[in-house]
Amino acid sequence: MPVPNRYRALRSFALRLPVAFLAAVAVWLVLLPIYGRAVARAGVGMAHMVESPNLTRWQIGGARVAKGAPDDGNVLYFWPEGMARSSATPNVPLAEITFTLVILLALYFATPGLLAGKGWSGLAISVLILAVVHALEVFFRIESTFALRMGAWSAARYSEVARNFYGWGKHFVDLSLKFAVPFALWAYFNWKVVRGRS
Amino acid sequence: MPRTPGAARAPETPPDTPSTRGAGLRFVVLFLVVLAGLFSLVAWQPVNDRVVVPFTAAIATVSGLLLNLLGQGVVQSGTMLHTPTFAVDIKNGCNGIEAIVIFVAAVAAFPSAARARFIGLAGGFVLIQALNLVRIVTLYLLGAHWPAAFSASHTVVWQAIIILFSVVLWLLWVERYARPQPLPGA
Repeated sequence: MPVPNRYRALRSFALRLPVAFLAAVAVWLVLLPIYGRAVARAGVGMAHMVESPNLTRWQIGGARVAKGAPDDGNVLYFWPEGMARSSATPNVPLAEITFTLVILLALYFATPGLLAGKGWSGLAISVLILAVVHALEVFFRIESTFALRMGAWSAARYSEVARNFYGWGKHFVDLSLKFAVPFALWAYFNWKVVRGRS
Repeated sequence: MPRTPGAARAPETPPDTPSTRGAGLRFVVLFLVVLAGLFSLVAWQPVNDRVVVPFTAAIATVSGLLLNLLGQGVVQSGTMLHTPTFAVDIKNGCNGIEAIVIFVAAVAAFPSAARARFIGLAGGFVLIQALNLVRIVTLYLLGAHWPAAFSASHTVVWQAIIILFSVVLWLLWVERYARPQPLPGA
């Protein structure tokens, strides 16, 4: 029985998606050093905007900061001013923050028309917006760590409201937003394809 | 152009008009609002303690059964699956709830009839959880027998697969249940 006409485009999209996913992973791995650092810098900048005076100190990579810790050069270490760096310095692999770029790229790569020149502007804008979300996750990781995971220092410096806000924000961005935004961006810039898909 | 009687109607792609783009923006805004609301609900401590944690333990139970069918000899303790040599703890992010929340928000935000939404929500829940069980079993086997591949598979590969699967599932729902269907014989 032939596939109904209205499912052909969806089947074609689904069949392209695995290859698109592999291509997206390759592009992400190439971009990770640059993209990750840009996101980290922006996230620390966001943290500095809410700190008075600037509290966060940071470094990307570097065994001097966390001797013995696994570090592929794409790990963000952060600590508050005045605290000694040690092997327990908080850190987050930038791959863990930025990998949802793979989802965005895979969806775009699987959508027809991109190689023909259509959709590049949407992809570019989507990447920029997603980078802001990734920077936001860096911000919440830093502030939630300072607000919740440093014992008496946290309690002395952060109010209950602030601790709840940073805790909720960190989990919302980490568990929901960074996964949802790639889909939302792709759907918005390809809405006529979503609505008209057959 | 006259249509041959009995021929399937060609798919129609709406033009890219301000109205179309406005509809897309409305979808995205509503999607994000519903997403934030649903996440706040499942993250709320009473809901987490009374619903999410028991649900996650149930996921662990089923995963443990599947792994023991594969001869792994795992023991379940709450949300943990372990043997003397390897253990996993299924936490938020690995229980499929986040993917389901995203899927539910997308179904809720797309204009459709109540019946279509119900079918989407029920079917999406079952299918996404089925894939999530495959994820848990696969990751356990990787962690136990090929540890070098566990981290990347856990952090990147399977997370992306679950979300991309949910997107395709949503597109299928849009196509099958949410969009107006062609008239018979059109």
